[in-house]
Amino acid sequence: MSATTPTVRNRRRPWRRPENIVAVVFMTALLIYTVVPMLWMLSTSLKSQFAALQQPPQWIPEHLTFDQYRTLLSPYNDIGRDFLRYLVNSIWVSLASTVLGVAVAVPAAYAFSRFNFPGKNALFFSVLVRNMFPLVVFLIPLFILMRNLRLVDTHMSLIVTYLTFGLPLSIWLLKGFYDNIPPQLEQAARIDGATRFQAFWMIVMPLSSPGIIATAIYAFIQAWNEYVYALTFLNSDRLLTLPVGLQRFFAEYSTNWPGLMAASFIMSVPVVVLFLILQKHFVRALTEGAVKT
Amino acid sequence: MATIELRNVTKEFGEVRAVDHVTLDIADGEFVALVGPSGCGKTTTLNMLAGLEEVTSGTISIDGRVVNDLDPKDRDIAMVFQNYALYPNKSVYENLAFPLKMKKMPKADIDRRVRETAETLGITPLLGRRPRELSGGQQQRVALGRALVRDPKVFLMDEPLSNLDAKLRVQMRTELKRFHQDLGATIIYVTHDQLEAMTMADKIAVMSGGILQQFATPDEIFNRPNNVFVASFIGSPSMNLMRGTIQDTSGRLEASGGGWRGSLPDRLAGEVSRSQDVVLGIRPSHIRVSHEPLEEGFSAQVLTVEPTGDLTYLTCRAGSTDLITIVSPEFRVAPSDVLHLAFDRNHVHLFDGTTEQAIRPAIGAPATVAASAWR
Repeated sequence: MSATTPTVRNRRRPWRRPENIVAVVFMTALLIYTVVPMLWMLSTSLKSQFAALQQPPQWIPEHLTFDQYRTLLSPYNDIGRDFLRYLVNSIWVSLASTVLGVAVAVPAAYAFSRFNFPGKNALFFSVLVRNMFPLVVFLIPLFILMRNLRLVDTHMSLIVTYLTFGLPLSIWLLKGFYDNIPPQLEQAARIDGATRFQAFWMIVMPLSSPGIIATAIYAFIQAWNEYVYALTFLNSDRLLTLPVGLQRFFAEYSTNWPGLMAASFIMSVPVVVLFLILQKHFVRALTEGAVKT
Repeated sequence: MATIELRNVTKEFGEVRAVDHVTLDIADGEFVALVGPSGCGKTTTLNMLAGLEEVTSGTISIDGRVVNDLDPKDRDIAMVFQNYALYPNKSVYENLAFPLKMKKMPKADIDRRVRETAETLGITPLLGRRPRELSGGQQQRVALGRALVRDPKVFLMDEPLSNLDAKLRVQMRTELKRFHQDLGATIIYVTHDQLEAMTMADKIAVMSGGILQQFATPDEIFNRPNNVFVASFIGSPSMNLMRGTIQDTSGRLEASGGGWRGSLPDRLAGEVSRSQDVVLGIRPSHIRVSHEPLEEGFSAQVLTVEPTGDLTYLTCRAGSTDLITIVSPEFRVAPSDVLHLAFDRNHVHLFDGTTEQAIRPAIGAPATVAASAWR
C-alpha cells in the first residue's frame, strides 16, 4: 500500500523511486526496439533510390521525395495498379473474415456465457484448444481440405481460414464480456416487456460493444498481417493480398528499397490506426475476461 | 391488482429439486414475504412467478389465468432485483421510460408517467443521471420507480433492501410498507431477513429445502410455528429449542432434558404420552429469571451477558443445555453467577421428537399448511 501513498518527497519526484527508474529504462529500451525500425522504414521510403544506399545512412533525408507513394497509389502505372489491387484484396479478405467472425463469435460467446447445455465445457475447451497449436500445423491439412472443396486460389479459402483462426480468441474475449454483464439486466428487460432477443439486442449489445469492437479490430489485424496461408492458398497474381504481394514486389524490384519501404509503410498504417483506437477497449476486454468483479 | 395461485409448483434442476410442491394462495392486495435461508428455493419460486424460470410441474395462475407458458413480458408483473439491475447505459429517465416504451405508449404519456413516478419517489433531480452516478439508496429508488411506473398487476421483489446499509434499510422498510398501504398492490417479497418479513408482510411463507414450511400471518408464524424449523428461523434472538422426554411428576406432565425441565400447558397435556421424545421450544422472553429458586424451575450458570441497552441477553447453561434469556438492564448479573430459570408454561411450544412437527390440540385451529416432513 505504501506505493499508493507516497511520501511528500516521492510525490514531488515520482520518477526517483527505484522501481520507476527500472520501468522507465525498460520501457525506453522497448520503445527504441519497436519504433526505430518503423522510423527507418519511413525515412527510407522518403529517400531517392540513390540516397537509400548511401553510406553512412542519413536518418533524416536531405531531399524528401514522395515519388514512391505517388507511384504506389496511382492506378496509371503497373506498379501502382498491382499495389492497389493487393490493397483492395487485403481489405476485402480481412473485412469479410472479421464481419463473419463477429457474426459467429457474438452468439457463440453469448451462448457459452448464458446457457447451460450438455457438453458445454468440453465444447468451450475444444474451441480454445485450437489456440494451443501453431498455425503452420494446419497448413497442409487445410490446403488438402481447400483443394477438395475447390477453394484453392480463391479469396474464400482465406476468409474461411482466418475466420476459424480468429474465432477462439474472439469467443473467449467476448464470453468474458458477457460474463460480466449481470443476467438480471436481461431478466429486468424481459419483465419490462422485451422479448428474449430484444433484451439481448437493446440491453446486452450496447453494453458489450467495446468488447465487440476490440475483438473485431483484433481479428482484422490478424487477417491483415497473415502471410503463410495467403502464400500457400493463392496462386493468381490478381488475387494476392498485401503481405504476399509485397514479397513479389521485393523479388521484382529488389533494387528499389524506398519503394518497398513505402509499400510496407502504407500497409502498416491501418494496423497502427486501428490499434490506437483499440488499445483502451482491448486492455479492458482482456482484464474483464480475466478478473471477476 | 391481482390474486396469485401456486398449485403444487415444483422446479427441478437436473437431479436437484429446488422447489417441491409449493402451494400458495395470495389474495388481491396482499403483501407476502417469502422467507428462508439461502438455497431454500424462495428466489426460484419468485423467478417462476416472473416467468424467468420454467415450471417443472404444477401451475401458476395470476388472476385465475394459468401463466405457466406465458413470457415474462406478457404476465403484467414488475420486479425489483437485489442488485437493482438498472440499465447502466441509460439515464434514470430512460430507465423509467423503458417499460413504457416497450408497451409502445405515446411519447407524451411516457413523459407524464415518468415525471409523476419520479415525483412520488423524490428522484426528479436525478432523471438526467446515469445509474453509476447514484448512491445505493438512489439506485434502489430508481429500481422501485421502474417497477412502479408501469402500474403492474403484481410486484415481485427479490431482496431489494439487502444491499443497503443498516440505517437506510430500516428507512426504506418503512417506506415500502407505506407504499404498499397507499397502492394496495399485491407484492411478493423475497428475503432471508425474518425481521423484514415480520415487519412488512401481511403473510409470511417460510421455506426450507424447497418445501413450504408454513404460510400464515406474522402473528401466527411467531406464536404458532408449524415445526422446529419455523420456530428456529423466526424471532430474534431465536427460540430456545431443546430435546427432552415427557415425564409425569407429581400428577403434572412435564418435559425435561439435560438439566432443564418445564411443565406443559393444560391444552397440550392430552396430546403427549409418558416418555415420548419431544422438542420443547420457549422464546427467551418467556423464561422467568430469578436469583431465588422458582417453582417448576431449575438452576443454570450464566455464560455470557450481552447488554443491548433496552434489554440484556443472557446465555445460561443448565446441565448440558445452553439457553438464551432476556432480562431488564437493571437485573444485576455477572458471568458464572448461578440463576434460577422457569418456563412460562402457557408459552411453551412442543414438537414431536421424530417428525419435528408441532404438537397441538386436535380441536384447535388446524395448521394453515400441512407441510411435509421437515428436512
